Amino acid sequence: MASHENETLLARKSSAQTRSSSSPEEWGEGSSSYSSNSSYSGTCSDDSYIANWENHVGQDGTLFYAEYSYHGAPKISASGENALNVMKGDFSRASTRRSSKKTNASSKLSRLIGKADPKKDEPHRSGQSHGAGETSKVTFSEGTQGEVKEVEMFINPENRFKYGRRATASESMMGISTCPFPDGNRIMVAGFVANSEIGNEKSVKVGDWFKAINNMEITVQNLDEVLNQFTRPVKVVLKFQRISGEEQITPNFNTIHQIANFESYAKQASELLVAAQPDQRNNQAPNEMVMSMMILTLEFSDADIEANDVVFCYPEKEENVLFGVRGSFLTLNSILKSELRSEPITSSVVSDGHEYHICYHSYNKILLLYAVSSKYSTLKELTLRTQELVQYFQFLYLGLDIAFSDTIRNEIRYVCEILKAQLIENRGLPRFETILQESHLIPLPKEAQLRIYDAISEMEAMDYREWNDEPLNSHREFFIFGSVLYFKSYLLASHLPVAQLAGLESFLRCRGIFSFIEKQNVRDLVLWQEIPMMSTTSRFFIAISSRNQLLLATILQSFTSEQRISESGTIEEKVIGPSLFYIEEIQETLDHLRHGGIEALARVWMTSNKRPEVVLSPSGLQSKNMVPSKRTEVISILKHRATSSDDVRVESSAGGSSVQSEDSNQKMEDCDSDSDWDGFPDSHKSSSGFDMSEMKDSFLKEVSDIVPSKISAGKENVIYHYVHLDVGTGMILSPPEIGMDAIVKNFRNACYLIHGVLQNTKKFRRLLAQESVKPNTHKSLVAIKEHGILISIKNESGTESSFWVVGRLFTSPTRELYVCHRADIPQNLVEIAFRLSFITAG
Amino acid sequence: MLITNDHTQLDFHSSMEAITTPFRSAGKPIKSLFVWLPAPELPFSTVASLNGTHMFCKSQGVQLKSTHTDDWILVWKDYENTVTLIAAGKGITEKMLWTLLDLVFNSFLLFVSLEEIQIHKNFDRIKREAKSYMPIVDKLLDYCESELLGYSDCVLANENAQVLTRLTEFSVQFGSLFCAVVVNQKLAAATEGWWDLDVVDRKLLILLMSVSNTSQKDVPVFLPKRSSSVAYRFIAIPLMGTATLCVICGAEPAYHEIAALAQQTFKNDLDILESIDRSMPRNFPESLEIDPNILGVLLINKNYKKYVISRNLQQNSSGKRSMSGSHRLDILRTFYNHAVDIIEEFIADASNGSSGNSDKSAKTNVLESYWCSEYHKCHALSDENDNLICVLYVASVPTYTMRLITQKTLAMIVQEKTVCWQY
Repeated sequence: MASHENETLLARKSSAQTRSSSSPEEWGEGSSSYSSNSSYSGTCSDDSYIANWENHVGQDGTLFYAEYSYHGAPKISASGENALNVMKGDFSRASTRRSSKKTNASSKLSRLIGKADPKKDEPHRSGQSHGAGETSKVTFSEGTQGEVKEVEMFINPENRFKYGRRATASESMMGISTCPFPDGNRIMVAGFVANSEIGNEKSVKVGDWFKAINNMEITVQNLDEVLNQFTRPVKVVLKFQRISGEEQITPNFNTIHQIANFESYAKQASELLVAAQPDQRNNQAPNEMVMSMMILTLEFSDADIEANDVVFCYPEKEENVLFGVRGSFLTLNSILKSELRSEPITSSVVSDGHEYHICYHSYNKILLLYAVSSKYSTLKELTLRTQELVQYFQFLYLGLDIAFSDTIRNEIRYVCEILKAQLIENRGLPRFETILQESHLIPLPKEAQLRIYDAISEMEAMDYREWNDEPLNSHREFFIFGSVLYFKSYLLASHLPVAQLAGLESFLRCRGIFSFIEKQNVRDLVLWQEIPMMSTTSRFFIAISSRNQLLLATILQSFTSEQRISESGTIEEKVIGPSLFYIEEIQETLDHLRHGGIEALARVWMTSNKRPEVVLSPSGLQSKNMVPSKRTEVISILKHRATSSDDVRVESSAGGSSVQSEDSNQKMEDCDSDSDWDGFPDSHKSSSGFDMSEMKDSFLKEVSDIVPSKISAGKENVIYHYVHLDVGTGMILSPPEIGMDAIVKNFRNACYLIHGVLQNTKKFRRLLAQESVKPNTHKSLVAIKEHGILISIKNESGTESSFWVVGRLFTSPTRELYVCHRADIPQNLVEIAFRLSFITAG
Repeated sequence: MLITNDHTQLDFHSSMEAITTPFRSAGKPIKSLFVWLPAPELPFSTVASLNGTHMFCKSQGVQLKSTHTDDWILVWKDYENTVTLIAAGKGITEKMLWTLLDLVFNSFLLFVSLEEIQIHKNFDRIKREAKSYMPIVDKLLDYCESELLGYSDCVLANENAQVLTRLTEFSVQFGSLFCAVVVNQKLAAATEGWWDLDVVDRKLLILLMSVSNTSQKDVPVFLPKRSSSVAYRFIAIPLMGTATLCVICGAEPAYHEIAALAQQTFKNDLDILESIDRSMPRNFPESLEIDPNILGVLLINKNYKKYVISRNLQQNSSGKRSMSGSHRLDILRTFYNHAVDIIEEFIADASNGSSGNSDKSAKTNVLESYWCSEYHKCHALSDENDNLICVLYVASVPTYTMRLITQKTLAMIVQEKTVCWQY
């Protein structure tokens, strides 16, 4: 949706001179200025209200739509400033909806939108300004010279909440939306609320400097304060000044690319999913195959037809060195199963001097073979990757024991392209905690967590009856089964059962979506796909929306299993395509969270390395082998932290016409106290009185002030890295965004080994539990609950440093904990690190 | 060759099958010998399929190396493009299987020169010699579980120094560099020349001695690693009880002459040899005080490729959870094979090799490793002299004190001159 809004924004900007912002018919003018595929209808009447992705819905109701710009641009775009731009862009959307609701209240869609435009206690918002959106080509002139105009108008504070949670004080009271000038102090008129009094006034134009109310000079800082002084309806004089200076601000914008379906996404995978600068690691030997996937069927009747046992093969058989020997794997699979009664897991072969590891997974009548060159993945890694893949197939197709259609074949082929691109990208880097099935959880500060959960719960409840005075006539189309919020590939909050979370995670990983949102500037990403789940009464869909690096994925449940008889007489289920309303609602929630600073907070929080703190790089160990791009990114984000939080602060005070902004600090302290609710005129309506926007400021400030906590006892911090794996909740705790230095590399390698040993122990315990099996048959399956390895690294300069990698297994509930700490300290200091599991909040 | 680790007594001589399978690849016929040792879990048909799979892959230009299942590991290896060995094992590591296969193939080479296999592809010869090497292969399969295949088994005794002096005397007099005194199939002392031999040669010669049903032995052998085309004489002379003198020499002199010289040299030291023999299950001198928390010790020297394994008899095995002596040794070996041996390779490979562009100058070493299970703890430590010690502790010992005790124990053994561990 962001692009749509930006289009709108663009249209508004281009027509700013003619002052057309309140008349929707004119918005279409510049709509296709950046994308010929853009589906913006241009009329904006509600019946034909079309989102930017709506033309790209596939025949089977699936949708894969993305807009992004390459990350390689000179500006550090994924960080604060860009986020800000996107935020600004988003605002216009909210007003679009409002105006469309008002203009065509009779249409059905507008009712839906009306529902989505909740009138609840969300009076404060910050990022409501129409700044230099990144696609905008309009240049704003500013200066102190210019014609001054005075406008008399009647303002009514009672309108304060009329326009819903998104509206700012200046919008709802005066009908003017504002944004700061680039100097961060003066206020610019950014637009007008439809049908507002001031909107009909011809003399005030978008881009004007909003100088004063009743001769009180207003600035970004005091606008809210001034407006809040008005407690009863009163007539005021507004002073505007036309800007005539020649200062030009040319917004830095990157070209926006558009992806309309999964196919084109997969085809560009090798560009989309890699870091900006290509490096020489990827020089691939000419006769080498990076990976291969074959799906073979175990029952084929006609032996005459060549290769009729192959259901799917990637790459094509001519290029696939393993294609010719697939029969061997089939044979091995069957004899090992029938004679040794054990499932084959992996095989290794050498062809043309290249070693390949092959992983097996058999379904009923189907054998999946996933092969990767040993240069790209170790055997242990491949097993984990295969688990991920199997999980993905389970999630999307309920296993591979299905009727293969061309659609599915193509889909798997695209996934192969993506997997291949990811393998090449991650070559030679051990990825222990990132390819375990469990999700990597980042525990944000408690307040932020509460707010995230609150926003998600509210979205899930879809309790829009209370948001709207009009009674509803229509049944809801879907129920929300659960939803998950990610920042990059890190889980921020989950409302899903563990099984579905794992499935969703594998979906996002196998489709490379995590890499995509991490590596590129994703402006907008909308996904819709039906997924099968074990249920006879309802159908399930995933709806995923992402803005920048925040991603909200939702599983929707529909109880209508309408069937229709197709022409050939078979019963087919009706295709249920993406629901505009639900996707908008998800996007709305996402925007709400982003406006609330969750994204900025997550970014800062992750790089801050404070809760708990780990030692990043011990002296003398700064070796060359860390990935340069990764490290610079972290640094650049760190550098950017100051700027981004500044920007954010300006923003929040610029637009936020918060009724009780003074209370914000107090609120921060006791967010659960009753006093929170008192200030809200109709607090009874609200299930979530939390105001995200004013948190943002304090969040960011707080992060920089926060005292780092460490998990080892003693004066010094001695922990380099840790991974806490909770099998029960399907989550991993680990320091995020850690550079790939020698220690982390070795830590991860060691973890693979320790993980293997601990898995053995689990198996042993299972065997013990089954009384029928004699446990002593496996002497090597000794019940190991802790395994430690002391590793020393000597680098080129001769300095040596050593560290322990210790893995421990906990039972009830099953958890695994891996800690990497300095070698020369007594172990009892580290014991405390094993208490990590208690830290679930930052 | 099919090998399982839990086979029991099988009569290999009668049931061994050898099949020569001609295969065609790109017009050239590949002949290969396929040897099968029956095992209860793997009937001939299965093994034939496993072989067929490998052959098929080969004809397509793909070399099948290994397959892991839930609990089995299968490996295939071609030697000299002539002999294919297939091994399957349960509960052991892939590395152990590879070592085993190498030893098995090299045991062929004790009796058949490499030339005959390489150039003449003389399968008949390999089949004919089966009588000689099959007992060794049989023993190797046993050892898979009860020994470290890549190292020579030694005994630590206070008398080792005296024996070595005597042995050096003998070596000089007799004029052979390759002499060793073996007590109960464990090396007590050996000359520099003997240690100079490849561990495969050493291991196979001791095995050859142990499988023979006579205590006197004088057989012509190839040394697979040192001399695979020229045969030497391998001579075993019983000295006293299980103590035997092993010598490698040329065609001269006659056996009885050598035996006489040996008896002459060692005639005053028979009581020493006997006391070494008596120390056997412990393999460890009484004089060394070992911490009571220690249940067993495995000491390895990676330079000489030798090891000593011992269980501490001081630990009185009362209490319910105490384990039998052999079980302790099993745990130690398992610990070594699964935790120590693999880790070193894996970490070194992963950080130095596979990552391609990464630091070649930075060197990664694994210094220590430990396991804690519910019933016991294991700790391994290596020093700069290529010594590696694995110690089995009772479960009650605190994890952080294990390091101290292990360091102390290692230092104690290495410093003890009479056991001749550190030459």
